[in-house]
Amino acid sequence: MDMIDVSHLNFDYPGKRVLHDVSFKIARGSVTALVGPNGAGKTTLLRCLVALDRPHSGTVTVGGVDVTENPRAVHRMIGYLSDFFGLYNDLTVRQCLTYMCWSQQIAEKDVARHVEKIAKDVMIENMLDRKAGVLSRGYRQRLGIGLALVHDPELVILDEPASGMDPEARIQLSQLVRSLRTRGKTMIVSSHILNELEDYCTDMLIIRDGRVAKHVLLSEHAEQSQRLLRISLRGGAAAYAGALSAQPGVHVDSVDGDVAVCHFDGDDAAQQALLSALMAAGVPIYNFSASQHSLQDAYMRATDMQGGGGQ
Amino acid sequence: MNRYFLGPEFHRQLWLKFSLLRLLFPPIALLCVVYSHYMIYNQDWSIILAERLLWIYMVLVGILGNHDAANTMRDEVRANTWDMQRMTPSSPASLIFGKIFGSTSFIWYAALPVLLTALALYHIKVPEVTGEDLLGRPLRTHLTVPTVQGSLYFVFFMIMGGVLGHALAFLVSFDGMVGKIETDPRNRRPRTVMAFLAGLGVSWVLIDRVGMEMMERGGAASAAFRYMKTLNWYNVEMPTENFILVAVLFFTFWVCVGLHRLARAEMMYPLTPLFWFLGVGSISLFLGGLAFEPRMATRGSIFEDYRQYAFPFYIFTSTLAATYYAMFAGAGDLRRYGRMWEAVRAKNTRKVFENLPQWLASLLLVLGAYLFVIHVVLQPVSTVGALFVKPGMYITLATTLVLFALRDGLAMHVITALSTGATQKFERGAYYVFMYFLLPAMHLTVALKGITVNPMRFLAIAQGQGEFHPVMYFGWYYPNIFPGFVFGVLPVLVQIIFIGIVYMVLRRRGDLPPAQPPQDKKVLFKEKGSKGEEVTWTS
Repeated sequence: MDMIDVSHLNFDYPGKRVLHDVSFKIARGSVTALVGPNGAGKTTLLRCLVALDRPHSGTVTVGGVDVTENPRAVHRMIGYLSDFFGLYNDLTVRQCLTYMCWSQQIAEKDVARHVEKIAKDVMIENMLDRKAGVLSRGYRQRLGIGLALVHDPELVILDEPASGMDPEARIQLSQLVRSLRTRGKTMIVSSHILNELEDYCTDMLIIRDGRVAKHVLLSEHAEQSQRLLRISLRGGAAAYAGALSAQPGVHVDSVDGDVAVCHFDGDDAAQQALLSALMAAGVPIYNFSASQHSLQDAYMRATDMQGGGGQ
Repeated sequence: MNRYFLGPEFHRQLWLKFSLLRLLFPPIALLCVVYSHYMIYNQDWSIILAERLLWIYMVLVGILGNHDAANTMRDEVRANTWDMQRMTPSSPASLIFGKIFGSTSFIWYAALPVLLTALALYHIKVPEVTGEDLLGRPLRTHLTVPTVQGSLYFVFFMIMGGVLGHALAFLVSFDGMVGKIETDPRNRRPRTVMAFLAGLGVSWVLIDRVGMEMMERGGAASAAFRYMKTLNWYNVEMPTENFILVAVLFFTFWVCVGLHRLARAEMMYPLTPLFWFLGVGSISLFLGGLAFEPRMATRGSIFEDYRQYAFPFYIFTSTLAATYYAMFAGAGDLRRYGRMWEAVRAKNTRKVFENLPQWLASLLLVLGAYLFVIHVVLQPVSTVGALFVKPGMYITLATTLVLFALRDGLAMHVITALSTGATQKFERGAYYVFMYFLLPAMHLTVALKGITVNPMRFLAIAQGQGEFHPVMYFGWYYPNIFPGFVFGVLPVLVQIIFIGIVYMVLRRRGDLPPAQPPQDKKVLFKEKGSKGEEVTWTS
């Protein structure tokens, strides 16, 4: 069963419709990157999913529970870190986590142990007796995620979790998300930093102008998509552009000095055959590298083909 | 630290409000105040100190306590922690209790010993003292030592002055936030100034005008009400202090219900306006009982018969005031109507009720009270007052009150629908200034130029006699009894239609883009599927 099923969701702010007939499904155990330009409706969509805002029409079910019919049950299933989350700055990290354990009705006898465990999970165990207000941005973010995970939710939704983080903190966040993924959590991560999402996401949901522009299953995308070849040719690539184009599945994209950038339709075996054929034809290759299209490519393709170009 | 005290939120507030220094300071300060008074003043030190302690109590509970209660939600929203709390399984009651009593916990910690010390001082029998103090003021003495019953009433009023005040301050503050729709939830701001003033008003009445007045006048429960020892409520004659006590409990109950409903709304529980309907109904019935108190209605004059009008008018005006407020507040979020319409289309009765605006629920009460008013004023009157007052005047007044309320409610909704949000508050204020001050001032300045108003002629027009009089223009701008039914009702009906036309015209011009229907699916690109089939990606 799908973890999230959104059907014909519409949401209005006064005088303005911000989500138009949004429909999609998210499988259990997946990690979905929610991407789109600023103002596309990502945060509004997430707030509808976590039952903090009421949609105008349409249905949203989370774990089989209708969000509008039983929002409180949905709250229990979800750990949500808002993009502008706050902390109790005058409390220590331990007090913040303890308060959240109490609020989430963790059994009394387990609270202290649970606080230690969560702190360890989000790598703030050394900060337990510091006040939340003095933590750096990265540690605040980790504490925020820790608070969202206290009740061991099935679905974790992180809205811009990496914003303002330094590179080290981003790497640790990436590790944390991967560890949550291995524990079977379904996750939605909204972010503008596509390279990082690529590390751990299984799906990409592109929102544009309040509509679902594309929902990509990245595993299928990798199988289906073209590869990008960078071929370095001694004596200048322009002289061999014709020979390259003559090969099946190869489209020369650009030529710059010795380097030709080509799109190639084919799998690993076809790529090996192409290289052999070029060598046999006497094409003077001194470097040959291939990469699959990235999340960023997929995003740019989806947004470009809508006519607006990516942002 | 595994176990919380009186709820997680209350315990969190204790963490924030208390420290070792804060624990020690209030008792030490109190001891210093007591000791200094004992040393400075002579035999009457206890009465001087008791009075001053009550003022300290008023400052602590009435001012600081209401300030804290009014600002609790603002602090939560500013810190962006409210959404996190909304999603926890905490019960609405536990959250509300924790916020009100937790935010004021330090105040109570400091104030209760002050109150009890003052009460104890009032029980010290001061010997009859005569003479003057060093500044030439006469020495003071207790009139009497308070009775046990008086002391209990005193403690009740003093504490409830704080509890009801703080709860009301929190309610007003919270109500300003619930239902406010912002594209950025951080912009939802509770109202704090009005909340503080509302709480302070209630605290001041109960602490200063009731509790302190009681003690200053001898400590008997009734001492505070020396001009109104008893009160008639629905023909039940009762001591005024008992009525105030019941009224405090009654309003505390409804404030708690209101808080609970607001918290449930914020925590996304589905709600119907049933409790609003019951609350408005019961509060108006409670207030209606005061119409039976002779000092609150016309008595002993040629208008004696008109006393019977007071009861329906109390009910009518209180339900109308509540409905007016609900229309004003409800206009902040028009999306409820859209959701209600969707529910109507889906024939989902429960959802229709969940999205029913509160004003529509209490409008039923208004209409009931309106019919009651008409029924009562049409009863025959035997006194000579009938020569001056006609039933038509009351019917005109009641009708125009309803229509003016509906006009303003409609205007608020139209302003919300047409404005961009940022200027909405200004536009609402401008509407009231224009409709109730500027427009009548301009019109009446021209219409009444050179007119000498004859009051008797004016009254005759109200009774349906005499000719048209320029003063009848008043009826165009204010609920009025004078212009007669047709001239009272017609202008406001015209205004309602005019506001409707303004909305239609501005909407058509595109000032408000209507919600866009889903567009036809557009082909984004095509690619091969995993099984070699052609897959078309659409929007």
